[in-house]
Amino acid sequence: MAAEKKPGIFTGPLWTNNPVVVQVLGICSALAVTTQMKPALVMGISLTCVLAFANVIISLMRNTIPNRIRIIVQLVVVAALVILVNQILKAYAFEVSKQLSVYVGLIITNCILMGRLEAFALGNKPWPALLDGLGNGLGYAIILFVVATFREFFGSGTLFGIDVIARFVNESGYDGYQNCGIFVMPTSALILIGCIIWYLRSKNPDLQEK
Amino acid sequence: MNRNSNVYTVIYAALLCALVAVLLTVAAVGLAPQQKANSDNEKKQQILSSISSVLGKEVTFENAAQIWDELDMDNNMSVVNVKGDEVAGVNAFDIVAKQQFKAGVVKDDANLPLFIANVNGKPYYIMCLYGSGLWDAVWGYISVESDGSTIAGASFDHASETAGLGAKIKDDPAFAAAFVGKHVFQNGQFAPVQVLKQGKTAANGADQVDAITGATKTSDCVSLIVNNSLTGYKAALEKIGTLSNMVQDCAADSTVCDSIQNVEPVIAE
Repeated sequence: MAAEKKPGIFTGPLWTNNPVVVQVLGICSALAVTTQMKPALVMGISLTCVLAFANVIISLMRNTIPNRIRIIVQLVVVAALVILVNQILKAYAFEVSKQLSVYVGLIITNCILMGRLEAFALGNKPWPALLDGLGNGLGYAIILFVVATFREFFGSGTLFGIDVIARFVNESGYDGYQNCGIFVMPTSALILIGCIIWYLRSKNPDLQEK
Repeated sequence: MNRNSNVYTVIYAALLCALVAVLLTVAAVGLAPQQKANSDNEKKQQILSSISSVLGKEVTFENAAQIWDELDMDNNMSVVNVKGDEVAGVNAFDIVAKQQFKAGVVKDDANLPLFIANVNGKPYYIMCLYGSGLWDAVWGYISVESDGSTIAGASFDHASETAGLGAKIKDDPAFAAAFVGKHVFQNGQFAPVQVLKQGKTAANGADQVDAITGATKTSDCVSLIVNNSLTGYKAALEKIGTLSNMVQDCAADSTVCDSIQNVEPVIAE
């Protein structure tokens, strides 16, 4: 029984039960870190790692946690993990830690973390919890990456910081091109995520509200 | 044991806190020397980045320590106060910029670091910048040529400006590069370069650098930070400028050379 459910635990959050566009969790950071692809990618990877570890740890502890302080316990575990990772990065991967600086803090407050710990890890064994963590983390990363691709391309004319549009425009000799400023603003992320939700719901009747 | 009893809850919370505290303390103490070395190196990188256009190469985290030693920076730094006098007995490198400012303005009794890089026989004076950005602290370094006014370069860093927008003060080399050749004084009047939206001009005739699109607040903050920080160095810069003029006069007419001795040196030789 459990063996049959495993693929769904991992693949579900990638699309049909995506944490951002279906569960509508973690929207705040999805708006904040998607102006460029690089931070979006780094944020997606960091969140996936932290979520997978936190899920496993909470799952291992699930039978000992007192019910009344479970949220605090979850917070302590997540915060400890994030601080530990940050300290190690600062000592041995200084450049990476500089890039991550604010995002590491954002991970602690990401609703997906608390949501998954509370909804899944507290009631499941470590292995499914690990899959759930990886699935939700990657599901979040995918949406961030897609949104960031659009925003960076149309807002700044670059992809991963490489000047795509400017290079093309220079070659063609046309110099009237202007980047679309609204794509740099958080507003555009909300519109883009709205479009993704629209598409997803039109393709998936289960999600449509009758 | 009853997992919902008060005793269990309290003991559980206490044990968890103790465990996490020990874990984090061990990690913090154990990793501290390595982290200190990294942050020192980063500081050297930031200081030297403000003269990267003079050096003709990019200062990276890897080559910062080497360039630092080549320029013998450890023996070429000084500390000045707001009156432009040298302060003895303080190590410029160890000065924490944050502690020299209050509410974004240089304190009256501040000790301000002044690094002097001698590149190709010319001195470049590097000063620290500090203040609040949109979200958190913004700091940096700005260098001037021997006339005490012409900016030779700048470098900026920030704690948590918005990635892709305000963070460009650090990530986009063109922003810092735009400060090169701008001035701190206009016709002898203190009017440091300002960061303004395209199309606007400074009321006091100061030079200007284009603001970052989509990051108006951060750009305004940088403008204020440059102005406020350089205000603390104003007296020192005037002395540097005066000295520079005298050296020029001296080269043209040796009779005025003696008066150079009468100017209190900003920099210990």
